[in-house]
Amino acid sequence: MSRLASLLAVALAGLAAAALMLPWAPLATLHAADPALVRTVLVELRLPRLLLAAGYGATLGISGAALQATFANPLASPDLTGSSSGAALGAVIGSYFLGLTGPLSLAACGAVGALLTLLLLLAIAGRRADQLSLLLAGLALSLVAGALTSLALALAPSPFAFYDSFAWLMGSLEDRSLAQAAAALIPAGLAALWLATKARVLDRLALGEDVLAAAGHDPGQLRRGVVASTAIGIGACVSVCGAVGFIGLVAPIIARKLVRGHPGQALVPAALLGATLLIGADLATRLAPLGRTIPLGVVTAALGTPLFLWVLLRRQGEWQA
Amino acid sequence: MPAFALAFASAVRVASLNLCTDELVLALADPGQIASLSYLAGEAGDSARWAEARRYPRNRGTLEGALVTSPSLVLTMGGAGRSSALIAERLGLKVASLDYPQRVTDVRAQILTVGALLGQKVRAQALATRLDRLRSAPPAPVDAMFVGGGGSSLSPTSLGAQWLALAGYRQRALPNSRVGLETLASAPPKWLIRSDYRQGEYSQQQAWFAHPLVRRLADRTIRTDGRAWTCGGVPMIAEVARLRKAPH
Amino acid sequence: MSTLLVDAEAISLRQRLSPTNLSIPAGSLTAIIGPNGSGKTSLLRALARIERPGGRVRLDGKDLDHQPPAWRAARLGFLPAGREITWAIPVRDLLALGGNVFASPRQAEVVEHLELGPLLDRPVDRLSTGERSRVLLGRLLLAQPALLLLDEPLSHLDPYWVLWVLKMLRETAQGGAGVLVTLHDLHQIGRFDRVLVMENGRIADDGSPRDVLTSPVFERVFRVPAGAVADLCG
Repeated sequence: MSRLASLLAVALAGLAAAALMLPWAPLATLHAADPALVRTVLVELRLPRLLLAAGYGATLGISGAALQATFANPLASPDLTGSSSGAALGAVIGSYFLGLTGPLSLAACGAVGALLTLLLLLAIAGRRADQLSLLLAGLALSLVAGALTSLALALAPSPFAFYDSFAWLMGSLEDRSLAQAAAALIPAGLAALWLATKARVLDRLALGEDVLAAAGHDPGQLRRGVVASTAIGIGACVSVCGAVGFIGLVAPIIARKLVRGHPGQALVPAALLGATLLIGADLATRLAPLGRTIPLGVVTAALGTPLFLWVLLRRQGEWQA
Repeated sequence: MPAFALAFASAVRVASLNLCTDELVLALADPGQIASLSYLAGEAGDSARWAEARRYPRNRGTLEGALVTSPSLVLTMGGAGRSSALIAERLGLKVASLDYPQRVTDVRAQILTVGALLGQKVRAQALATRLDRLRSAPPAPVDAMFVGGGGSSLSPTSLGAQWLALAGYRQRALPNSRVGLETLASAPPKWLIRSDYRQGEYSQQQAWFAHPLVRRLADRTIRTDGRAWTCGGVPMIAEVARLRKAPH
Repeated sequence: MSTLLVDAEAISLRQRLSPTNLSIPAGSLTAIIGPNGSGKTSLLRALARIERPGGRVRLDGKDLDHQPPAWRAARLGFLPAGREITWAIPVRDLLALGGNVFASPRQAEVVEHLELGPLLDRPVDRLSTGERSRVLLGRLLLAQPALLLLDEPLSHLDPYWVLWVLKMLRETAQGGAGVLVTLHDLHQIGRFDRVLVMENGRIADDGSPRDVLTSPVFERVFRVPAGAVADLCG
């Protein structure tokens, strides 16, 4: 287990270094002209981007793993429970309509949006919903929240709002500042830390809520805690970077393969994997040809869709309805 | 038809369907000649003369919408569409469709054209002369970048860049006419001409201005009223004159 | 004289179990029977303190509600009726969940008797329901809790396994544990020391299998003539 963790950490560190240094040419030219400027560019521009990619990816990974463990559903994730879309809706309404544009208040709006969506999901699907009902309800909420977000952007006071749709619905890490990174990652980090401490209990949850309750834990309290932490973490990140899909779904699935299927033990590896995947995806968007910007969500979808389909096909016939 | 309009100049009632033609109408027409202006002319965020524009009926940019106010002339830019021209003909209206100006000389020509259509040749000539004075002795241009939300800038051959040159600034060529934060940090322009278009309204493009790498260029940033740049028409004359007095 | 292992006072579950008192001596093997919806599972769940039940349960003199999870997990084993497990955890890991170790001879015995050896490296979500039942039972037996609460442990099992499991439960009881089992099928009822009959959320009868099966209460609750199944006692 520790060998796996160190392997992942090394991969992550390598990728992070690459993300910071590439594209190399502008840095080299800059260094020749004025070395101090290299530091400015690295710290003010590339570092926030790297931190956000790592932090957002890790939050997606650990939240997805925690949601999957709590709902005993291998496909639950920030995307498929609607919490990412709900967070985007909350942040959009808060910033474009209510004037709450400061980074922390924006993060709070995102968290509120995510939380309300998750609560709505539980209300619709019911506490002891089967896997399929939960996913269908989550998908429906996700679609509705996405549509409402587009509507909100179209009706917002600023005519530029509509052009922001892509950034909100497909995610973007471009041109974010250190202040924004802090506003996203401090709440997300706290949420992720809390979730990490629940790894053992979530492992016990694999035997079912009843066995967990008999052992003296409160499954209801656990679920509420997971929902709240997920909402805070995802909400804060989405408020700065928009909704990025697939990572929260796919990272936990791969992580579970690496830890022999234990849902709780997969939490931290899923975080590391999520960070790695998102850094990689962001790097891919920056190295795209033609100098065009490819939205982050397109790359994560390209990575995630084949994996997702593979999981679905493997489970064909084993579906519990 | 034109002779009839010239003879009874004050009888012309113009409906302008486009913000850019609104600017021309507001600059040249008498109040009694304005039948309706487009919606944006009355929006504070898009038009410097919005308070004035609100005195007139507003249309939504379609011919049908303008008909209510019984105009005799319909002014639009970028094409009114074949069906609109046919309808106008049947109703005995004149439709004048101007092309989007590509050069400052196009703007000058449009001033004179619209002046003729409205029977306001004197006023139009006065405006054209003001423009000619600006063009006669432009200051030596210095390196600059015009920047709007999200780092959007101008192509050096665009109309906006030509106006900028008249103000004494040379727009740098940028890939995709966009300035990235790395460029601002590594090769900043001597002057950053920042458009304040809709700066009070939140959008991610506006939020771009809050990035430390943009804020650190504050001492070389010159603000400009973004509303004039949308069309690059008549209001630019005053804006260029103002910018000439800014630091170079 | 066997010691009192469990003393349950006024335990209840909203709408499903009226306040009930129950004492369970150490070393006993008790069956809970009753028609569908009579409260068999609810009694078990109230004893295991699942779903915020009312009342108080003392195990070895200590109030269960006030004990830390580690203490409860070691002392109390609960087998739910639904044996679904979502995750592809290998059987070996599942058996160890909760801190079990394949150390003592008794534990190796459990694995051998339930024939879990060939299953050890298979993911638990790919097992048949019967195999999963054996694995989950095996996990509980490995943990050697003082109180075993099993909801329909014999369902989904082949007759071979039904007999084996009953034998192992008997041995566990003889080792000092208290074992309570809900039974849907009455065929094995003769192997139990004590039978509780549930009716509409309360214990309607409590006694040895023979006494319970021949009592008029049985006839009323199950709507079958008293003598009809009496010969199940053997």
